[in-house]
Amino acid sequence: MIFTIRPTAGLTFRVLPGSILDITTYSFVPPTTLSGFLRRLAMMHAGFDFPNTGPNDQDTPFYVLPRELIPLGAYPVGACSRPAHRTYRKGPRDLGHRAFSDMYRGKASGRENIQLHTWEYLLTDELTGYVVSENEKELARMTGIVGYGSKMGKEGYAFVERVSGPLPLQRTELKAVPSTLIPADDLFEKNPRVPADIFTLYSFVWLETEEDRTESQKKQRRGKSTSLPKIYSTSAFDEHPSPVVKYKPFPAARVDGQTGVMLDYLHYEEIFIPVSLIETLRGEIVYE
Amino acid sequence: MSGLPQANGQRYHFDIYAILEGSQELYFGHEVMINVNMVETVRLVLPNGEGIEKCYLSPTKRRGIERRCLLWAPCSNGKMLGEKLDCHIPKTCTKPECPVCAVYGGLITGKQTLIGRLTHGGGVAIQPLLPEEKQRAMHPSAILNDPNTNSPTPFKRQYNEPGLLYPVYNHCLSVTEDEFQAVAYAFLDSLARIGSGNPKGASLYEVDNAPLLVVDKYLVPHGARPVISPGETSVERALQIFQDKARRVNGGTGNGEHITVNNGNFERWIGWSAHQKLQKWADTFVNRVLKAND
Repeated sequence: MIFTIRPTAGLTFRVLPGSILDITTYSFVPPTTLSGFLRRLAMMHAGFDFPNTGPNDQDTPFYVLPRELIPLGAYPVGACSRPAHRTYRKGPRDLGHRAFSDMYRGKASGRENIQLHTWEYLLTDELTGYVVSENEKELARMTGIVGYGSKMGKEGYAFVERVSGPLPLQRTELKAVPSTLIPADDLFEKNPRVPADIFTLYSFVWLETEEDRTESQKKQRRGKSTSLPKIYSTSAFDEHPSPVVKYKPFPAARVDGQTGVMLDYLHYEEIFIPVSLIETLRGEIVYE
Repeated sequence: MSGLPQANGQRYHFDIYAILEGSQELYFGHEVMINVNMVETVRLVLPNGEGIEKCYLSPTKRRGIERRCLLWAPCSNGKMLGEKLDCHIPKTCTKPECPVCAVYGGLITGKQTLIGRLTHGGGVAIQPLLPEEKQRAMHPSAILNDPNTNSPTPFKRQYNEPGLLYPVYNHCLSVTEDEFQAVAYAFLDSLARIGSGNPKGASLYEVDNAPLLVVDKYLVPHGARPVISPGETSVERALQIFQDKARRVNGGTGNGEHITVNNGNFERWIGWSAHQKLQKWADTFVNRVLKAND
């Protein structure tokens, strides 16, 4: 399914691991960010408030798309800042003073201790996002989020302008221009000399849920556990946190928009999605 | 789930879309090169491979101006609102009931975070007109900075040209009408204070004697969003897009300036009607918060 997303602001998708003073951005929407963004729109559509995932919580909840909907990231279309727009900001080292909003100030005590930051923003007309699934019905429900918008990434706001699909994908191995990122191992194994940008990206590690267990496992578990099981999200449109425990890094590559590379793809007309990306972003399951 | 206290009344999403005009030259500081104070510009690559550079009224700068407008708002007891609330920059009070932190967010490092529910956007000028460089503090007989004479050092400063149009947007997620009143007050009050140093001020751009302003209050987004792509360089086309999208509301009823869909699930105000609505909210904010006897 294709999501046409229109940003209304400069966007920052913080590259991690990164520096505190130099905030850099990916030049596209990372798959995990797209997942959280679309989930929030689905929750708003279902009438729930925007969820808080701030650091006040002991156990920060994740709100992302269900495991069967696999987001593959969103990529700029049209006019775009290349490289990202870099700003220079003087930020406070210490937040415990009021100097920046004082109108009457004595000799500066030096408490404000200004330090120089750089901060990058991606500016673009439009983004094309992809979500794949074997569950066509669940994917088709996502059509409901057209028009909704929310904060996206570390900074910025975007809304879904159009949704197309679900579109049937066909598996084929050929040389084509990939529409998305590619796991770097897969790209270089088959195309050792192709120039590409390399990024560290992340996939989800999911907690095994009740649905994953066999009947006998469920019985065994009931005998052992005395605490009530936590309620986890089973749909993009419910209000529960997702059964995500952590992220797992993987090296990803992006080739420029003209270079065709030989890969195993799922494709529909001009859309070519590397099969290995879907497999990587499907994520891992851990058992308690 | 959100950690916020239950609101006294329905929460809504709110959006403000406007096109501002720099009424005179404006300075939005960026880097300082040797003896040149630069303004912030953005460079974009168009689909045909051509590169363009445009002046930028950064959303983070508008946010700072708006927040200060609230902190420096005059209260009936002779204090400014920030002093009355003990809420400052960067030392925010971070209380969910603070009219400033509730929407703009707050942080007490390591202790409390209140995530802001207002996001600022837009700011890329429509016309690809580069900044003008001007000589400032020139003193013909004292080029050297001699501490004994305390003479000014010559430097150059860039300015955004007057007449540049900046599409800007404010988006609020899950806030009550009471909370949004602070945003309406800050948006209107900040217009005359945009820019660092002097001169200051931008105004709502008017076409056919009506401001290019749209305000949405909604639970379900029924209207097209009047957003201009940063790559757009034609004023004529941009204004056309803004006006067309402002009028495109699915299934709405109303008089053209105020459109309602499904019993208030979506409400849109356009032009002067939007301006009046913002003023009404700002008035209520003044009466409810700034003139409160406490």
